[in-house]
Amino acid sequence: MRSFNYTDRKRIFRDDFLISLEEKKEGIGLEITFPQFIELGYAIDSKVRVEAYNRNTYMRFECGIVKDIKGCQNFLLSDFDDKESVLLRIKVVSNKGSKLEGLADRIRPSKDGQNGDSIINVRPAELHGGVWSVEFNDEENPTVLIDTSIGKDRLTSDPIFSGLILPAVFREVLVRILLIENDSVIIDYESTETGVDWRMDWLSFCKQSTKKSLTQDELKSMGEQEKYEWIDDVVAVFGRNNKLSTNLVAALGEDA
Amino acid sequence: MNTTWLSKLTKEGVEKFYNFIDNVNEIDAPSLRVEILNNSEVVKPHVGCTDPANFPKSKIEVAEYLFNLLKDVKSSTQNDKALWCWISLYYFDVVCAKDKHGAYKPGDINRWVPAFDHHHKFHRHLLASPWLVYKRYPGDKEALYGVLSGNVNVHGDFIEQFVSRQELISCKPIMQAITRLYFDKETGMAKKGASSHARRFAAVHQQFSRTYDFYEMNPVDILNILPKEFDKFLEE
Repeated sequence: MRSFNYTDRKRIFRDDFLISLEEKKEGIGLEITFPQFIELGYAIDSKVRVEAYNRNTYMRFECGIVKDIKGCQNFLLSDFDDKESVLLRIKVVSNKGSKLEGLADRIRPSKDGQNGDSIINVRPAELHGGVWSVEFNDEENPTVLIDTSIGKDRLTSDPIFSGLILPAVFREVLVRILLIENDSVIIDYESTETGVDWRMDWLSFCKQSTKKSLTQDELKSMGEQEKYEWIDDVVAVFGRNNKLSTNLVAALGEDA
Repeated sequence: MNTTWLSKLTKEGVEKFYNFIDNVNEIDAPSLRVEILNNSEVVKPHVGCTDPANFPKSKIEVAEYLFNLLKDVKSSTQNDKALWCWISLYYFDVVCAKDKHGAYKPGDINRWVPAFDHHHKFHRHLLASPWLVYKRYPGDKEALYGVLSGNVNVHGDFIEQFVSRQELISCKPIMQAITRLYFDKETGMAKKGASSHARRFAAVHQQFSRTYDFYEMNPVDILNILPKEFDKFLEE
């Protein structure tokens, strides 16, 4: 959930540090180059902590205090099997009362070394005979779960699979944003940093890729039927842009 | 005395287990259960384990038993769906709740077949979930007694609210605070009203986790910052 910062906490921006992950024999190696926290206004005796986590695993590392943090540090994420599932949280904790002085959360190091985040994740999961589903949680972007017996790569590599499922996934996510979580969505294309609110990331993606956007007032004034129509419209443009229907028909061996 | 071997179901065995759960009140469940367990074509034996008649009832005891049973099993096997299907089937009759007419109430399939990859569902397995919690804090009663209070056949709000949240379950001071707040040492069970209060604790934790680093705190400090509505549990 998106929340306002009423806590006097300083923001640690994702661009303030460099992060890389590397698969090693003994586990996943994590390297973080920290910013000069003192220059960012943090108390010299505050503690810096790094947390690596995903849905089932959690590791925490003590990195020292602000005045001693210089350059990069290396960590071994021995409890993690898959570097693509690793999310990071960096905390600066006050020495007085264990209050958070700074926090950066849901950081997913991307393949190119930037601290980016795909708007959707794809993961194999046990669905007990189901084929796919979409999982929502506060910690990461929506995740498409594909039953382990099928193979998650089919979502992008198999035109029949992607032609049938991608529009439905797209639709389910937008329904979630506009009809289920609509009361807490704050639409602000200009000043919402990427990766802070997955719902805003999705609306920004819609704006960029389909040229369809919504203002806060428009969302507020829309009825349920209008929201569904807007969603159908966006999903159709997405399908056309990615030739989902064309490729599906071709794969089925029929004339378009 | 015959030893029963902790085993894994084969792919075909897992399918038989799905069918068993889906139709549990339409079939002769006790007979079919034994039939599957004795079918060497769908069961692969592993290590020796305890008879269902001696299987404990409380979550904490079940978790401890499973922890000891599995500690020498390699980790890739520990998270194997087929292994947990066998364990679920083997102990089904003593773990599955029944109504007053004796009909089974198996509930959600995730209580019997684990979905370790599923963020919202991995913790729902009646046996694997207590084991996962115990594995984090082996033998640490102060951390375990709150979350693992109650009988194993009831999934319960504590498991639902606490185990599914990484920031709660991975934080020892929070686990200790939960025990101090909600666990009744005299009865060995959760305090009255505690279970339905779990959701509120989780919500307050989420709100405060943007202000405090609970990992750096002790349980007393955590209890001291909770809103007044929590005092009634401390006074009991």
